[in-house]
Amino acid sequence: MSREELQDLCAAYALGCADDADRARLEALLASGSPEAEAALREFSQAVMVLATTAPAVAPPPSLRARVLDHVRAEAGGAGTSAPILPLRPLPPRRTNLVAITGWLAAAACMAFALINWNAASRLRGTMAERDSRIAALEQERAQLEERLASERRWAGVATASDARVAVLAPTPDGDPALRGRAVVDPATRRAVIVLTHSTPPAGRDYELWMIRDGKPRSLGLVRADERGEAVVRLDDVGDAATLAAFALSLEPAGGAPTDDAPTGPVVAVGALGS
Amino acid sequence: MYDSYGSLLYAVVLRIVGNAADAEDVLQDAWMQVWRQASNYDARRGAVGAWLLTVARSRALDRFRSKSARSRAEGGLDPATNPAPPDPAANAVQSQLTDRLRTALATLTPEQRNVLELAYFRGMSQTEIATQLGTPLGTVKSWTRQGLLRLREVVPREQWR
Repeated sequence: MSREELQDLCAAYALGCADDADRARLEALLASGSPEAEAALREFSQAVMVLATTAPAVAPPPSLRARVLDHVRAEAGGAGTSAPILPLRPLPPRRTNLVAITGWLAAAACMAFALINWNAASRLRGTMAERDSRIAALEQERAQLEERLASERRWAGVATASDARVAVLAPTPDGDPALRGRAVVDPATRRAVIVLTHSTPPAGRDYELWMIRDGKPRSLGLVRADERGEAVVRLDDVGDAATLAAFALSLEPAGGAPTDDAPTGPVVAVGALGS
Repeated sequence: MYDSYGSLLYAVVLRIVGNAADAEDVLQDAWMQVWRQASNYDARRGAVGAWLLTVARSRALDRFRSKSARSRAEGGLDPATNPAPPDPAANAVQSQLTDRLRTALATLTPEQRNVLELAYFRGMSQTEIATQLGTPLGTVKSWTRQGLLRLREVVPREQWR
């Protein structure tokens, strides 16, 4: 029997709408102790419980409770006496196949309390899920901060390296006299940090940063100053610090020089690396 | 036990028989049956609620069938077409619970939902449903399977443990 066929049988059986032949087939399977059949029936019986609870909620009349309890007491041996917890007459022969009952009951095991406590449980789950996602968000934030802190430490290491090479950038006659800069290169990591002040370019122009090695300029990109005119440029790899001669800043058309080996505009600041 | 399951059983029975007077009669009979057969019930199997539901539903369907046969013979209205109006107060109490179920039901196709309701609340066999809907039996079977799978899926597995 295919899985789908078994599911068809169990679905109809759990729902109580199986035709006789199908019911007999499934009961035979259950009687043979098929774990697949039992598991499938359990699944579908649980779904049927869900279906049952979709009946529109209507409060039973309070009188019904009294009526039921009165009848039970009467049958148990007279109104007002406490009812024994034993049936008073022989049980009628069970028409339903025992396997069927077992399957049904086993299938829906533990459902009752789940239904009764569903409300409370869902609310609790909701709160816990909220808390979990908040914790996850905080965890993520923490990881990001840690990563950022580690990165800051690495960059701070550039400035504090004992053998760091430093260049002080000063304006040329073509540059803004207030323009200043300072570059630090860590020979061990080949990283460099360049800090510039008063580095906001004239409108429609860009400042482009260069490093000079063997007398040749090489573009390091455009400088993006903040609103106070300060810019911090971090360079992951400026190559061998020993052969690096200087850093320079040129004033370029917006977008920078067309090639990265030759500035087109005037050099506005320059600083040679000391040891 | 009555206080724990009374509301759920009443809702299901009322949904089947369609009016309060019959629902009360059915439930009284059902509870008597439960009382008489209580020692038959093996608590180790758990699921007392499922057992109660089976007893009550089966009695309600008996009542519904005999009533609708009679009303058809008398040319009267099928009581199922005139269900009692739901009680707003009870609805409010259960609404939080049923919100979730409504979501579950909303994921069913109209065909799946119709088949499940005809089977569970009308007690129709799959062959009867197929005849009534003019649909092949195989199609009714797969609507049943898919519908229940859908309902089962919507409820997180751990809810049932």
